[in-house]
Amino acid sequence: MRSRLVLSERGIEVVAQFTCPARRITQTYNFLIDTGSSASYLGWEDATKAGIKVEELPSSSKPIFGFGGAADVKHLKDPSFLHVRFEDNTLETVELPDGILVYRPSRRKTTHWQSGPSVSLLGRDFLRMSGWKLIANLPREEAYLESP
Amino acid sequence: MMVNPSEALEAINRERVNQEWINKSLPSLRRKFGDRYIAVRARKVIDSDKDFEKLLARVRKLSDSGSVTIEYVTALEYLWLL
Repeated sequence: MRSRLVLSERGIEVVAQFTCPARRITQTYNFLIDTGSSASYLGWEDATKAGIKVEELPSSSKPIFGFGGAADVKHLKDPSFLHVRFEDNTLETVELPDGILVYRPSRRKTTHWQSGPSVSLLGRDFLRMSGWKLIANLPREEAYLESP
Repeated sequence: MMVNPSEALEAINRERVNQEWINKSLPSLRRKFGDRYIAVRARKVIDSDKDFEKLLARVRKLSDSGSVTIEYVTALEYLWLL
């Protein structure tokens, strides 16, 4: 079974519903799939949309190193779930037992390097936990998640 | 809290339609709304603001706020580095 992904100027994206039962959160987000990121993140705008008070979350226990600039990183520790639509109109669920990180880019800005709004990301942890393959055929402008 | 699959699928489809429309319409959206957040419902920009939280507060007052996608549109086309 496959889930067709969206190709945008930012990259390969998946629309998924994020739920966090402990906080009674149900929100649908557009996530960028980022194989360069070891962890998955909610951008602060998406977290704010869900009513999460990002500044009140504990800081991430691990420091973050990134090529795209500095970021403040918090940790939503409550177990959460991502629900993804597959081609036969079924919903597959991935559990995030340790919750998800939430980040806000630093406010530094120069002429050519724009530190813009945050983008929610699904990293390699998501690909591992889901057990799904990421298939990208960019010459044909196609990308999928494929479940076994 | 159980997820209702049909509601979740509907919400995912709505968001996807909005996102695909935004991606396809980026050149014209950049001209009209560059460096602003836009609120999109059913392939139409219904509001915009430079301030995310001000726009979110207005969107939350809508009865169907769950069907609105908020996205930032850059005025310039950037190369992306994560």
